[in-house]
Amino acid sequence: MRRVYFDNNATTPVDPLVLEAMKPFFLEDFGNASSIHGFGQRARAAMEQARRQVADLIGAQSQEIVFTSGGTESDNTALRGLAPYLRDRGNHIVTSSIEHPAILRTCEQLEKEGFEVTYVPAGKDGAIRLDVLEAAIKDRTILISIMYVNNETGTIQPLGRISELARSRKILLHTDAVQAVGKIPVDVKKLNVDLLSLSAHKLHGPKGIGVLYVRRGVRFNPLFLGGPHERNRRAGTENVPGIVGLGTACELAKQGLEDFEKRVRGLRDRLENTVLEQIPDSSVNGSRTERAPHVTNLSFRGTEGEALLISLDFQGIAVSTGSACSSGSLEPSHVLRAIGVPSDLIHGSIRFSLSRMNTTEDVDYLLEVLPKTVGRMREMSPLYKER
Amino acid sequence: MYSPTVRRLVAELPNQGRLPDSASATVDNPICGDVLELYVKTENGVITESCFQASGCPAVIAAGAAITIMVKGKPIAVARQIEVGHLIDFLEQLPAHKRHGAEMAVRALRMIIDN
Repeated sequence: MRRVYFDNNATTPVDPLVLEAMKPFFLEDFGNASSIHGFGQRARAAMEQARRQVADLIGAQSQEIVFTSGGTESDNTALRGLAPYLRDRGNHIVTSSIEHPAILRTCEQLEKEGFEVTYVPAGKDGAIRLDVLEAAIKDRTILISIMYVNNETGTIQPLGRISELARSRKILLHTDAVQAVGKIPVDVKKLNVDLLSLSAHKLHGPKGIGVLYVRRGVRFNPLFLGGPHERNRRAGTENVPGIVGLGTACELAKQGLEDFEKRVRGLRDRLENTVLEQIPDSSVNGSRTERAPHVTNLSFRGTEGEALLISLDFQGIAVSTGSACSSGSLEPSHVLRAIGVPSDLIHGSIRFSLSRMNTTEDVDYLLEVLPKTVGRMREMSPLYKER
Repeated sequence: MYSPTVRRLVAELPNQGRLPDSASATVDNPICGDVLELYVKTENGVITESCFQASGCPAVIAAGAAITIMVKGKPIAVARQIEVGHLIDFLEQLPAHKRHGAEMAVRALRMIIDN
């Protein structure tokens, strides 16, 4: 059976070149990057090379790159590291209702610790409401944290305008760019952000390694204590193989960015347009224009996302769903709910997220399987009637 | 999260469909909107055929399919003894928050038999 992977927003396969680059740092140059001997120094040199590769992809300087264990730690560090540090300037944080749980749960914790958080809503197009964000800013606002690309819909958030607002009010701006880096051009100077989170495993790097970009001059309380690693910003022996993998993944992403935009967008658009044409009662969630090129979030009325997911999985196709049933509770996707998707369509939602490793044949196979599978699910439903 | 049996039943949908000239019952779960229709045909006190229709999560679909398999060939009185636990055993476990799928299937069967 053919196996097709369309769940690249969850994680991506490691690029073979990334794996090859990592291998020597398990077996030969395995030293602790803090050690003075040759083993350590070779590891350190590779780590610094990777730091330059990451910086190069996002238009940063090497010393602005802090290695972490991944996107969640980067988000936690940005919020939990910065908020207490800036406490004497204010206690108000602005974020959005469509952020990743790494931001939302951290904000909830900060609220328990005495901070005030405003959650800016998003419109039907999946973009946050700029007017509400602007109105939410107070004299006590110390930080704005808005994601760059939404993980469920792929909607690109208007960061340029948000950074103008933040600058004019002298508020620090963090962005969770985990789903943006390697997929669309990301330049921290052009975006004018102070902090940015990224994760290796979303761009064909290994799991367990990420970055918090911290603009030069921005200070925060480190989450981990115990050593001078990462210029006293993140204690703990560096994950050198992971860091090398991330560096290589960033270099490959930079080389392939143009191809990604053209080829992956082409695949995604063909997938989406054909589905909308061939499957009645299907619809796109979020904007179709202000969107990263690799994601489409579709709803199939009269189906249940998780059942559809299992059925596709049996035919070798991996996707994900915003249905309540996949969440371990009866609560459906907070993102789709926040952008006003009706609950029956949230239940029947499937996210297809592509990568540069997907092919035309992958899309062809999906287009062969999906209409029949949706049809079968609807045939089984006592409720479904085609509109 | 789901056992291999649940996954297989959802993918293969055995006995999915409607059964004309049979006894049937429809149950729903107002909390999550799941709906299950169960059809049972009997001859001389024995269940000869059973089918289901479902709208909802994998648990209700798998439970609907499972109960049609479990009751086929059984005397009505024996089928009446099927409990939620038996169905969950057949499904090789359901997540705690998905137990309602098995409850709906057993409720539908009992509504048919008791009527």
